[in-house]
Amino acid sequence: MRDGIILAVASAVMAAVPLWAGEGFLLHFFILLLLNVTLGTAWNLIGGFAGQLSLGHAAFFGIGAYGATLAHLRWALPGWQGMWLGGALSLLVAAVLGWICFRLKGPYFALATIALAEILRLVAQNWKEVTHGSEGLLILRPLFSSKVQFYYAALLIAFATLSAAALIRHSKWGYYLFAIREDQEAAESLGVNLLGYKLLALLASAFFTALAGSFYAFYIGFIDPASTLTVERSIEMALLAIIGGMGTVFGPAVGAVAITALSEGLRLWFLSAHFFIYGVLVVVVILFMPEGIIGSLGKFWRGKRRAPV
Amino acid sequence: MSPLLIFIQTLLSGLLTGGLYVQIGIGLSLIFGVMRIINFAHGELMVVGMYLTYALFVFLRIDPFLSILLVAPALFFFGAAIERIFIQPVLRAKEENQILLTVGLSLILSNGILLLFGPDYRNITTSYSGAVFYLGPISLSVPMSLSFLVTIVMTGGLYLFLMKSWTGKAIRATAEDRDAAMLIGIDARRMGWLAFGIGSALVGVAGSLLDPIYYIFPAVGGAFTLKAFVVTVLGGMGSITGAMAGGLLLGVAESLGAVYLSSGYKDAIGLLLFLGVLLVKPSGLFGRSRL
Amino acid sequence: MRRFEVKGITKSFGGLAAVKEVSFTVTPGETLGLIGPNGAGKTTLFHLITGFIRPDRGEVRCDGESLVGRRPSAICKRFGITRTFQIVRPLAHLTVLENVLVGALCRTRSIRAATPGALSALERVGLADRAGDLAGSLPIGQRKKLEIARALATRPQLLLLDEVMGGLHSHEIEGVIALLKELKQEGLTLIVVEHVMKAILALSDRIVVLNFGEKIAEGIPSEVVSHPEVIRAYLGEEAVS
Ligand SMILES: Nc1ncnc2c1ncn2[C@@H]1O[C@H](COP(=O)(O)OP(=O)(O)OP(=O)(O)O)[C@@H](O)[C@H]1O
Ligand SMILES: [Mg+2]
Repeated sequence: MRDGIILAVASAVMAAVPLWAGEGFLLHFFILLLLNVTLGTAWNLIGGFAGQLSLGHAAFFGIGAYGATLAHLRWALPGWQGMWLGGALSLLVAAVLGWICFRLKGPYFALATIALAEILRLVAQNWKEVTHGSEGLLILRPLFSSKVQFYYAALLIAFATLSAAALIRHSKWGYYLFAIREDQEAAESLGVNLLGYKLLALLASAFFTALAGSFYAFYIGFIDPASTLTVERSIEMALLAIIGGMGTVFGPAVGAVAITALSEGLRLWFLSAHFFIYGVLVVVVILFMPEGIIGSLGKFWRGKRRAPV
Repeated sequence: MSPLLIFIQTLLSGLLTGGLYVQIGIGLSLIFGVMRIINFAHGELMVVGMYLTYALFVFLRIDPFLSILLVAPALFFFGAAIERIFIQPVLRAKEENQILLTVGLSLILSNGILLLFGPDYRNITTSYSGAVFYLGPISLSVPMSLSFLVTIVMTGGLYLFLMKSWTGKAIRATAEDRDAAMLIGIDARRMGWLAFGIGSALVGVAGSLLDPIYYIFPAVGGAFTLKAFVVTVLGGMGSITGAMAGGLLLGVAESLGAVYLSSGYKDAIGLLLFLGVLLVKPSGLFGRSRL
Repeated sequence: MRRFEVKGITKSFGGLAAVKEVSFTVTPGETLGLIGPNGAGKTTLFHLITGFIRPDRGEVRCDGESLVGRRPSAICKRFGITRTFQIVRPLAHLTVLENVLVGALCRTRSIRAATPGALSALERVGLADRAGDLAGSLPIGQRKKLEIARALATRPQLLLLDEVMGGLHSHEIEGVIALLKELKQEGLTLIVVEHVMKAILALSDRIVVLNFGEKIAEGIPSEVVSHPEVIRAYLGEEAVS
C-alpha cells in the first residue's frame, strides 16, 4: 500500500520531466536514469530478494539487445515485437541456467552467471555473419522519432518493473524469496520449494533485464559486444542495487539516481576512473553499510531493532 | 606436418599453458579451501604481479624470470595485507557480501593500475621471447617451457609444504574443518592470511611468467579470474590436487579446441566445460569438492 | 491422522555410521522421546526423516508412502512433517512475525489469510510481544521458541523437536513442557529429542534410545530408564541427572 503510493507519486513526478527538461542532454540523462532504475530493480529480484548473486546479468541485457535488434534488422519486426522476442529468449536461457545452478548449494550461481555472460560475449564477438562481431550493429530506422517518446517508453518499462517488484515483495513469493535469502535450509523445512521460487525470481529478473536491453538498443541505435555484454555492465547492474539497498523495493531506484549522476558526472571529467570509484564504493558499502542507503536509513529510523551481522 | 605430429604438438603446448593455469588456479583453490571465500580479485592480483615485473624490467632491467624472487614475497605480503584489512571483517558475513567485497577489490586493483599505467598494451621483449627449441620435429616455446618448470617447482614445493611442514598441515586441517582445527589449538585466522598470501604469491608469479609471452594491460585480469574459477570447479572446489589436474585439463582442452574447432571460441571452451561439469558432476571431475 | 514409520534406516559419513539400521513407528497422536548421548545420531535421524539427507539404506514411510528422495519442502507441505533445528536458524533480517508467516504460508497463498495463524503461533510460544522485532535480535531462549512457533505455523501432522529446551532457564523449560503437553492434547504427533530428562519423562509415551547410531532400547519411559544397556550408554554422561 505504502509502496503503491510512493510509486504513484514518483511516476507522476517523473511523467512531468519532459515538460521542463527540454530535448537535450538533460532528457538523455533522465532516460539513462530510468534505464538504470529498471536494470537495478530487475537485478534486485534475484540478487537482492532471493540473495542469489548474479555477476553476469549482462547476458540477459545482451540477449534483449541483440534479440530485438536482429529481429528488427533481419525480419523487419517492429520494435515492440522484437522486445518480446528478446524477453522470451532470455526466459529460455535463464531457465536453463537456473536449472543447472539452483540445484546446487554453494557459490556456483555467481560463477555460472559470469560464465554465461562471457560465453555470449564471445559468440557476439565471433559469429560475425550475424552479429558483425566487434563492428556492432546499427539500427537506422529508430523505434520513435522523438526523444520524448523514448522517455515515456523508458518510464513505462521502469514503472512496470517497479510495480512487479512491489507486488512480489508483498506476496507469498516475496516472503519466500526473503526466507531463501536468509537461510535456505530453514526455508526448506518450512515448505519453501527452493528450486521453484529461485527459478521464478530469476525468470522475472531476466525478462525485465532483457526488456531494458532491447530498449537500450533502439534508443542508442547501435550495439556491440563492448556496450552490452561486458563484465562491467554486469557489475554496474549489481552495483545499483547494492548501493541503494539490496532486497528493498525502492533501493535500486535510489541507487540508480546515485550511480547515474555519479557516472555521468565522472564521465565528463575522467572516463577511466569511474570503475575505480565503483570499486571503492562497493568495498565501503559492504564493510560499513551492508544494507545500502535505504537499508541504513531504515535502520536509523527503527533505532534499536538491529540484527547482528 | 602429419596430423599425428600436429596433435602431439597441440597437446604439448596445451600442457605448457596448463602449467600456468595450475599456478593460477591452485592459489584460488587454496584460499577457498581455507577461508570458504571465492576471491574474485584473483586475476587482478596476477595483474599486479605482471606490472611489478614489468616495472622491474623497464626501470631496473631485471629479467622476468629473475624478478620472481622479488614478486613472490611482495605479492605474499600484499595478499596477506588485503586479507587482514578487507577479508577478515567479512569472514562471518553472508556469502553474497564476501563475493561482492572481492569484486570491489578487483575493480580497485584493475582500475588503480589503469590510472597508474594507462590503458596501453605493453609487452616485454626479451632475447628469448620468441625462441623455440626442438624435440625432434616438435617445437616448443622457450619461455613457456621455462615457465612450466617454474610452476612445477613452485606447485611441487607448495605440495610438500602442505603435506610435510607443521604449518602446512595446520592449513590443511583448517581447510578440512575450521572449528575442529581451532579446537586443537590452530590459529585459524593466521592460516587465513597465510593462505591468502601464498595464493597471491603463486598467482603473482604467474603474472611474471606471462610477461614475456603475453600482452600486459590493466583489464587482462578478468579473463584469468575466470580461468581460475574454471580450474577450481573442474578440480573440485578447495582441492589442491584437483586444481593441478583441472589446470592441465583446461590448458589441453583450449589448445585442442583452438586447433580443431575455432580459435575465436578458444576461451569459451573452458567456460562450457565449466557449465557442463556443474550439470553432470558439480563436485568436480577429480576428487571431492570441499563445499 | 497419519502413521509414520522408519524402516532400517542407515547413513554413514565417511566410514562412520551416524545412524545404523534404525526402525520404529510412530502412531498418530503419540509423543515419542528420542534420547542418546552426544553424537548418538539423533539430529542425523531428523535430517533423514525430513529429507535433508538421503539415507544410504532403509526408508521413511508416511501412511505407507515412501519419503525417500523427496525434498524437505515437499515433506513439509504434502506430508505435514516438519522440524526445528538444534542449532537455531532464525531468518535474521526478517521480523519475528515474518519468520512465522513464512511457515504459515505453507498452507495458504494469501498473506492476509496466513497472518492470524502466525499470530496465534506466536501467542502460544509467548513471543507475541516481540512480533515486530528482527529475529536476529532475539536471545537464544526466544530463538528456540521462534523455531517452535515457525514449525507450528506450517500446521504439521508430525513435529520433530531437536533440543528445543537446550539453553533455556528452568522456568522457561516448564513453559515449553506445558506447551508441548497442550499440543499433545490437541492430537499432534511429536518426536522429541531432549537432554533434559525431566522433560522427556514427563512428555513421552514411549522412548527410543540411540547409541553410536544404533537403537539400543525402546519402550515406555519407566522400562527404558532401567534398561541395563541404556544405563551403560549413559554411564558418566552428565545428561543422566
Ligand atoms: N555432515 C556430517 N559430516 C560428517 N559427520 C557428521 C555429519 N553430521 C553428523 N556427523 C557425525 O554423526 C554422528 C551423529 O551426529 P548427530 O549430530 O546426529 O548426533 P546427536 O545425537 O544429534 O548429538 P547431540 O546430542 O550432540 O546433538 C556424530 O559422530 C557426528 O560427528
Ligand atoms: Mg543433535
